[in-house]
Amino acid sequence: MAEEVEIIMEKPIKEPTILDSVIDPSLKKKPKIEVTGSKVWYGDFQAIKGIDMTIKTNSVTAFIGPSGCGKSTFLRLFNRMNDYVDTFRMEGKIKIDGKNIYKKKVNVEELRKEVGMVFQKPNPFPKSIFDNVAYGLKIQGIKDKKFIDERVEKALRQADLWDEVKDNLKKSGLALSGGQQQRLCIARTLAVEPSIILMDEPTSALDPISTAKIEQLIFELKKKYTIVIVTHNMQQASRISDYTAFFYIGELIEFNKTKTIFTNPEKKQTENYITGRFG
Amino acid sequence: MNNLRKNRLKDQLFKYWGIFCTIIGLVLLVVFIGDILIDGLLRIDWEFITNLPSRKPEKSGIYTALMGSIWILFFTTIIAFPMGVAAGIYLEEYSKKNKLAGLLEINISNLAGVPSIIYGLLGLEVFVRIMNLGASVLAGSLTLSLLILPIVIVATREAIKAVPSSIKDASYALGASKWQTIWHQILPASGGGILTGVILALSRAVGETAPLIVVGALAYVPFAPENPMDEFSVLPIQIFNWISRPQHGFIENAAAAIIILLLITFIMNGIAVYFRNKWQKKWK
Repeated sequence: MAEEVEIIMEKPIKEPTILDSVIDPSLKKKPKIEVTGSKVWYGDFQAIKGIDMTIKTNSVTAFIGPSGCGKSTFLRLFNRMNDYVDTFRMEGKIKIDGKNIYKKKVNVEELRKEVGMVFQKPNPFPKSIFDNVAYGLKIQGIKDKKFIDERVEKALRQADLWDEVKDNLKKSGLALSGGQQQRLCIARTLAVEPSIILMDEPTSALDPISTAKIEQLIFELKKKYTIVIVTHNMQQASRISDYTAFFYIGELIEFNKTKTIFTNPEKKQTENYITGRFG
Repeated sequence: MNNLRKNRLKDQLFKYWGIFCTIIGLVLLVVFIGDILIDGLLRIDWEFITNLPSRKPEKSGIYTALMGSIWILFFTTIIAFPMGVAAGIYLEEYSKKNKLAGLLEINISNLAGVPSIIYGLLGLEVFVRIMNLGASVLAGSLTLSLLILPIVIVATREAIKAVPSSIKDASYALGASKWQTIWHQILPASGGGILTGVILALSRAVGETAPLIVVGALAYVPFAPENPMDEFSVLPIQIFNWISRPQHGFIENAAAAIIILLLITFIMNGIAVYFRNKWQKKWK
């Protein structure tokens, strides 16, 4: 648990990096997530080599980069999912809504209600569709049947799954198709009403039609949620995100408006990657 | 072409060797069970089960030994099950994966292979003498609990390991605490495997003889135990005792008791298989 993880924090922060200057100034207006000087180690291996980043409220930010570049690790910092890795160690500061989430007294369970996550492979619980969506509420100790029913319906509607499953809510979540399972996982996350949704390659295991549905969904959800998505699909990043960050071997190479990254990247490395010349 | 034929021949040879080995094992088992059934089946009737032991073979029954086995089984279950499962959960979910944990793991696996009579000596010293429990049901149950604890721990850990980590991740990501994740996700998902392991361990315990003899279980007890501090006998000891008697009637009794003991272990294994299949279906 949180207490067992060795965390070094509250180090003096260096002067602003070059990156901040290139970032669109509108980012500074409504910051949702602010990362300063984050470094991550797994044992002796340094996975993140000092990254600063500001993520704007109600925007979609895409993380791209070759496998092993640290983008998933970086994403998992925001809901402290790396805490379960025994050798994990981190330096730096991550603020969500102005609060440092790596402070000792932070309640990790509370944090995760605020920062939901959708995984690469659809991972519904081996329970009914209803119980899958209601799980997050039930573990909070909510017993009000009517309240849970309403929330479940609302979440399933938001995830665009309600019409397909409303007559079979008792059916196992595992009986759904891959695309439906992933939307169920999104609904499960939405039911807890987080303000941030982290998505770790949410469509990489899905067919193109299911992928299109999820992308449409992300577009809708953006109005109410801050979304950070890791993707290996360049087209996807350019289609759905407002901002794109390119990672390479534990470093943030370039972070800018998606349009700029894909039409006029500043760094040669970024250009090579998005045009498919390496990675 | 020649090479191909050679490979084919090897393939065939190995296949028949495998069939032969399988049949040998099965034939021996069938012969053994057949022999036992011929010797003992006619001896089994309601009186054989409800009679107390006697000097006359035809009046002897297994009542005290059977009740002793059931008492032992009951207490071993309520001691070893919660302890073993809790230890397994701790080792798999809570303890850090460091050198100490590795050492613990190796030692628990080794404990599972320690000869049962050693556990008997340990039980005699610790439970019978130091804790002064005497040759009681409780002392016997504690000894057998120690014996099967490593098996239960290993089975629990294996069952928990088999739960996909994606399920745990999903639970944590929704704000569940460690205990909530264990209770709502990990235990339901691994329950079949844990139960199977526990039942198989108990079916081993029910057939154990050596440690209970060392602890001081009696071959002849006039009455069935009525509380955990009573003296007791169990089926395997009763069988052992009857086989060593010269009269032919006792040999028949032993065969009949073996049938009952086999029946108990078969039923327990059957229950284990049933649970495993039921859980597997749920996960498909």
